[in-house]
Amino acid sequence: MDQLLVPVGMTVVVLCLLAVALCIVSMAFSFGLKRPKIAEYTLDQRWENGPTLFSATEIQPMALSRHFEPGDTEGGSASGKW
Amino acid sequence: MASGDVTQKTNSVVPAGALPMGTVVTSSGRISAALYPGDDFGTPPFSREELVLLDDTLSEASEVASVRFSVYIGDLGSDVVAGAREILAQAPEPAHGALIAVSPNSKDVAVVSGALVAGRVNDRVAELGVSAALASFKQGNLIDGLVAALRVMATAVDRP
Repeated sequence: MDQLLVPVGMTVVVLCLLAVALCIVSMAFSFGLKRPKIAEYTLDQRWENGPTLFSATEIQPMALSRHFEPGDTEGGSASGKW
Repeated sequence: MASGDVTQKTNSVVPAGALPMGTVVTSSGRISAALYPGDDFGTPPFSREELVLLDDTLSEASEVASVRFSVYIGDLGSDVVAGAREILAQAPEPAHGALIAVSPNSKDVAVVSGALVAGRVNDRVAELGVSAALASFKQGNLIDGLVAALRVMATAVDRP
């Protein structure tokens, strides 16, 4: 048992030091990098982003879940242009 | 399968091999992705306050009116109402839902509702929503217009 202490212990220590060194190197490369600020959209700009769908998720379901049927979206409608 | 085993769905929408490096589909089906230094968060191009306002209004309007409201921003095609109905089909609970769809590039707005709320979110209520949205859109306020439309429709709709 005592004979294994040094080989195993040294391996663990070397691996730990290597991991710490890799962390320091990665931090050195990413130091000073900032996330790009997201440009806020206004209606006078062209919409260059992908399609975006917002829906409330933290609310109770309106009804028991069921399979979608083709006629489910045939309700009221209106449209306009600005 | 023994009780408590974790299994991965094989019919995932995104094949595991098609995901970019640093991305994985978790056992629940959620996609977890590493964010590299310098990458943005991919959030919609609105301020934090605007997103919180829109989220709160969607929740309040849905609970008050018992209609699952959704908002879409993007291209709607040449027939905006048909395009909006296609989007509504992808929203949660489409039969009990109503969608405000905005196409900023073509300057179109459409409101459509699901079949099971058609009597309450009818054409008249949809027109009220469109009118409320247009008033703010003409002043250049996208989120304000969406919030106004949601509030007007939630107030105008008959309670179940």
